[in-house]
Amino acid sequence: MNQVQPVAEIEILELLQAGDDKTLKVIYRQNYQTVVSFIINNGGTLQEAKDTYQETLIVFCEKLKQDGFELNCSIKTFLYSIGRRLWLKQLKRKSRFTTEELNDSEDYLPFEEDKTDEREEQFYAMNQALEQLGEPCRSILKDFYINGHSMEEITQKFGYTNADNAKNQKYKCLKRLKKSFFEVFNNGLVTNEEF
Amino acid sequence: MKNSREIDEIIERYCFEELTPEELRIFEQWLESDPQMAASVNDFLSLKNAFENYRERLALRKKIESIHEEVEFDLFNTPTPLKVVKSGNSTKFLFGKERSYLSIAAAVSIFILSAVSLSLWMFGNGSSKNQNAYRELRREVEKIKKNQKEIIKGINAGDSKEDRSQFTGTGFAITKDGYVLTSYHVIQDAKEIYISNESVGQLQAEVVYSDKSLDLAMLKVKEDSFPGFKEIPFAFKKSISDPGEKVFTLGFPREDLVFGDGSISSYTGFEGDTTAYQISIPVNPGNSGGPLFDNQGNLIGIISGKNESAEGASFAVKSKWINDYINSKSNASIFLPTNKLLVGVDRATQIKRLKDVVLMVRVFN
Repeated sequence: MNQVQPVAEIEILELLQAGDDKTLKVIYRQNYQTVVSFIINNGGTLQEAKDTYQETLIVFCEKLKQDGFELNCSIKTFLYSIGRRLWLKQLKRKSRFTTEELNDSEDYLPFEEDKTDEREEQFYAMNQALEQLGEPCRSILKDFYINGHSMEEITQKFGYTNADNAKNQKYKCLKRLKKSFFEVFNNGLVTNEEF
Repeated sequence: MKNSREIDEIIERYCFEELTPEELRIFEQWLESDPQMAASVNDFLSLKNAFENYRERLALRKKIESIHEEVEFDLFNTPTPLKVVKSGNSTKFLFGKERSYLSIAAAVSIFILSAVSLSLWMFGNGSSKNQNAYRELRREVEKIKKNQKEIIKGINAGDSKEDRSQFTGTGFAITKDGYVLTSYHVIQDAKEIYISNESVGQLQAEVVYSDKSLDLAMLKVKEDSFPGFKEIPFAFKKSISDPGEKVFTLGFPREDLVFGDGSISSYTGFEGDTTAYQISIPVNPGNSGGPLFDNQGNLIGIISGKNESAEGASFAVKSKWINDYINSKSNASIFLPTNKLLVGVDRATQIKRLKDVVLMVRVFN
């Protein structure tokens, strides 16, 4: 990867880091073909390619926000590398992975397991854990911990007679969530292997 | 000594930095002397972290999806490289001008074909008959039975018949805790609704909300002791699928689950209805409300009816509209499934995983 990063891209990165959606849109459009074609050329359907590309952008945005983030290649190469890694992971999950070489159209960075991977597993585990909870638990926890509603709002919304009842319910729900979250999170690799 | 709820509350307040200085001092002493407590604090911190991460990712995903929707048109109007050709060390895409000519030619011929078939179709059906051509596919069980009885017994005047007709259709679970989707016309005027399949037995359900124009109803299991459905294996597709894509459905046109497959034939449903697809699956009364899946097992629609005056023209409401509708109705308490347990496995395995969440819907009015 001896590419020198174009000066203009540094500005683009700064705009992206500042959360400029217009720039993100441009980046999205510019790199769509490269990543999507890569996936289609390596055994993916258009839908899979699209999903993986969107996931790629999510990972990209998350990486931008990490402390000390530094880009030593072009944005295109970077996105291609993320997309490539995600697709490899997906192929492994599907065990469609063959020893055959992937058809690469671009240079790419070899990624190691890093912080973003952990975030991916974390998201997956939280999603599974919330999915496994029944109602009203899921809504109560989402309202409180994710949507930032107050206990008073929750008491009213779910029709509890007083805040203490609601708190007690929330406590029980959190206990169950905690259990299934850590179950999935700690066995992350096992669940991935299954499919 | 405090009970476990109080301890958990203190840990939570500690992690959210809500303790008073006095409480903090006592708690930190406690923390030093009790390694168990330190572990609990760590657990809560990772959970808190996971919540934050989850919130951020959801927001990002939403943003990127909306970007995709905005630029989708541009994306599909630039030529897509089809194939990679490897020559020596360098890899190249074949763009090929011929390809864009080809696709223009294809588009033109599709346009002409559809224009011709549309005019033929309009010709064939007097416009006043069009209403009759659309047939909803709920099955009138009692009517069939009654008719048969009447044929057998002969018609006895003065027979007191209960005025209770039963309809059946198909539905499918979208959350583990008991939310089920079906067609509006299946549960229309229902007094009692039961859903059943091999894995959950028979359960009573009630309508949570319904929309006549979209022909959609959401049901919820009413039983207190309901243990929940199995894992919902499919993902809810939020964008539009294209004609030519292979699709399949599972439904209850009779007492057992029946599989049917075909393709999407058109972007629009009956009389150009943009909320529906036309599909080439032969469907029968009882199939209404059944889920429509693509090859990867993404849910892309709900079977709603067929064109009586054309063979092999069935219709399904698009999942995109269903998604929009559900999002507009529920205050974020219903999560449409995003699981991908059907990706990359063969059809038989897909069906094995799906059959526990496809349900027969019985209606008494």
